[in-house]
Amino acid sequence: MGKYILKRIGLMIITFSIIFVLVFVLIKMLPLPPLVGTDTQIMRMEAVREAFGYNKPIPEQFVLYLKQVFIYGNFGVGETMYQAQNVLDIFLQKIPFTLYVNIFALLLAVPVGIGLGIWAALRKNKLTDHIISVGVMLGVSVPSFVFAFLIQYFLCFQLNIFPITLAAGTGWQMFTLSYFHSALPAILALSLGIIAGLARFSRAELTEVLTSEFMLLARTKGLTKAQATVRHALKNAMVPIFPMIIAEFIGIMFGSLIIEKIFSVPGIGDLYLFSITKLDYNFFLMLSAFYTLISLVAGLVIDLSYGAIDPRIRMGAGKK
Amino acid sequence: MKKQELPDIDKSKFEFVGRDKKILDAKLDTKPVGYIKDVWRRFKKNKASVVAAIIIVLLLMFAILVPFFSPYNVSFAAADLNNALPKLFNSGTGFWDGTGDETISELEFNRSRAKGAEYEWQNNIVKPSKDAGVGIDSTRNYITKIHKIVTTAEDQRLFHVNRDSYMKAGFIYKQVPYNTYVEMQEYQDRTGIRLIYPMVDYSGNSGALNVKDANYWFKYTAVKDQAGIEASNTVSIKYDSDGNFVPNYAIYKTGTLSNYRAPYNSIRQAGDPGIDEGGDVSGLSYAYARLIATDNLSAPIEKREMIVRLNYYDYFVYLYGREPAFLFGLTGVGRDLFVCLAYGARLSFLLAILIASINLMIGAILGSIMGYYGGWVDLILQRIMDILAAVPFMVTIVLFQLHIQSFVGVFGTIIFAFIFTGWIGMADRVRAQFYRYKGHEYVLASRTLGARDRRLMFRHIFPNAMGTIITGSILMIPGVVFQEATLSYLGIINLDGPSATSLGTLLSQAQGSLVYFPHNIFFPAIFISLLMIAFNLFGNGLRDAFNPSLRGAED
Repeated sequence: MGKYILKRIGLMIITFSIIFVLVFVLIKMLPLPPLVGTDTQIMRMEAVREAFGYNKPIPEQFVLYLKQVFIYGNFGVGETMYQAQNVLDIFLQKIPFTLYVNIFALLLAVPVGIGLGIWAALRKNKLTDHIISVGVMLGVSVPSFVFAFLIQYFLCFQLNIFPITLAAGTGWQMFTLSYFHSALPAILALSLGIIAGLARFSRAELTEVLTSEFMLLARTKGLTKAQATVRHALKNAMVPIFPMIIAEFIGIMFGSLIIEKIFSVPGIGDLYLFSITKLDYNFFLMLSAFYTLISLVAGLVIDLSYGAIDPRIRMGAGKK
Repeated sequence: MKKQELPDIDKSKFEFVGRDKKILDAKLDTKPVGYIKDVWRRFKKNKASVVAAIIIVLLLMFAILVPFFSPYNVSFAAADLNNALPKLFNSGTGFWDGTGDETISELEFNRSRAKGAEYEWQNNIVKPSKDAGVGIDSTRNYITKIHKIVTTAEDQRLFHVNRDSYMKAGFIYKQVPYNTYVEMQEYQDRTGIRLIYPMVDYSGNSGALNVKDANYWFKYTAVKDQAGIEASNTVSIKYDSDGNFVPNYAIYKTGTLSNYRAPYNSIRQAGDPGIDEGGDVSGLSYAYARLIATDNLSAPIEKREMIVRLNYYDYFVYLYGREPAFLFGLTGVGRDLFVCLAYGARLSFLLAILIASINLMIGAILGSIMGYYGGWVDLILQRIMDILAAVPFMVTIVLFQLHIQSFVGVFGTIIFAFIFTGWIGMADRVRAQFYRYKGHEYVLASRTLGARDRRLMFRHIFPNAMGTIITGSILMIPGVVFQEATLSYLGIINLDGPSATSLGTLLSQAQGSLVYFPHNIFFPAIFISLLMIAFNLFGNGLRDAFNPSLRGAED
């Protein structure tokens, strides 16, 4: 098992390195934008460009980049946005907002989604199941930005329950009730899709488990339906659901570009989008690497957690 | 048993046992059911999928047919009517008739009344009193109904009214050559529809900042706001002793120095003495056009450009031959949302079908090779796929844009970026099918009979993958449509132009005014939601039909 995990991590690092080198080379092939800003800003930006060896051959730039990143923790400075400010600092300033909205969205989505899925599975082919299934179908198909518009128009504007955009606030201000209140529309919009996905998945899993033979055995042994469901069916149904939740928790770093834009959440999705429209290569490179890494780690964790949760799956077992 | 024991029986006494009875084990006369027919039969049973398929066909027809049959095309833009509300009919009920309820201030109320052609025409706008609802003409006025007048604590009157968004432009100034000016007059005489209204002389108004707005045809005084700045929306209207608006028209005047000397021989305003051009009308009649200043003042009028004051609604009729009424309303820049949606959908469908079919080809070919040959080919391609699959799509599209957009254009960039990683899913599926079937006995049998690899792959194994391939490529279409809408909404790709638009662009343009003009968001949002729902249902039905053993599996 340990060997297998190491092997997978090694493979992941190789994959990441290849992607990063490709992205790095493709970005460095582009002409650098002229520097604009105040004199001190330009001086600082030029100094940083010098340190990263902007006029040297690309392989040399790559070595210098690695050196700056790993020795000084320096990802460069913003050139067309957040001028002369450290990329990493800005990134660290932004990430709490993304985490905040996404963690609350997950905290809302996981119990509700799994609960709905279980409810639908227990009432299979009854009215409850049909209603939940239609809701799930809508939740899975309708794009999240449509939900965002609906929430914004009806809840924020027509009924005036929430403010239209996120309140300003940093640090501890984020843990006030009024801030949470202003973040709720974004949280809701984000969670609807996850709820639908989880509900569909857990319904499918639980239905399958409920019809399996060991459930019949449990009932024959004299367990009530409730006992059999809670002790046997739910536990088994959780096996594939659990990795999904773990992956979602890693995926929350991703944020959602579109939700952050609609509700003006100043998170990293927003930052990434800004770096694309402004063409700030330092930000773009750093954030692209970050997103790639997150998606790779999420995939790895899903794979590994299957083995950790379900003893029937033997990790790294050779071909039968 | 001896033969003799059987007595001779007369032949006529024999009879057939089952002559008239039905023979039950009849020959099978049903037709054999092929795979496709079986699929079709299974598909028909899933009612939701059939409905979804019909919706998809309708949406497709909408996208294909609307651009052909609509009187407006995608480059049409009536900026003066931007954000006009959806209008299906002239119901006067407030439902889908282009009108909307609003609460407005007294000044805004008066300005809105002044935009009504009928009022200016009869020259009798009365200062609104308690019974201001009386006399509102609901066909040619900006304000169609007055629901309620509320007096606030600060002694301000608020008007709860219903306004016709197609009248909101009121009057506009338009620069036209002399020929057009004459043409417009002829049109007026022919149809009786009035386009041209008297020019306004602003010099009579007090205040440093003169509101040179075609809708301020009455006398007013500029009012300073708290900061002491004259703003165009804070004027105080002057009323005459009866409480009517006082018109402020420019007067016709001859002489080469006058800008108000363009002749006018058509329907005249009420109150205009209307002396004909032959007589001395200088200083009496209203002026209906203002000449644009030029260096050569003595140039004949026929060669000069002029500004006329037009009623926008009738001008629209003059231009397009029909009254403005847009089923889905107009966008923030005045484009017809109905047509824009169709163009956007057409572009999305085109992109999606193109991308899905290219991905299908690449995926099917590479997947077959990987699955059939296995070994190091499979291994290398698998690693490449792993790497490509880990690249976030945003990174792909941005890098493609930066590097190849200048060579292949926006459309080409999008196609390349989608194909770059899009074929992986398809290749994976085909590969899995090949792995499953390549060891089967019938394949072995065929090989023993001397079939070549190509024949084995494409005649024997590939048809087994057809179901997954068709389902996969159908489900790829909503994926691409959704991604494209998302990317253009975020402004990363821009397919918007004079001859094209995209669903995402429509959404992002409308987002700022969501609160005031929700129709601009709702129609594209409903369209894309309907599309996604229909494709998902259709795809699921198709998957169940092609592969009944997968029914209910979610992937």
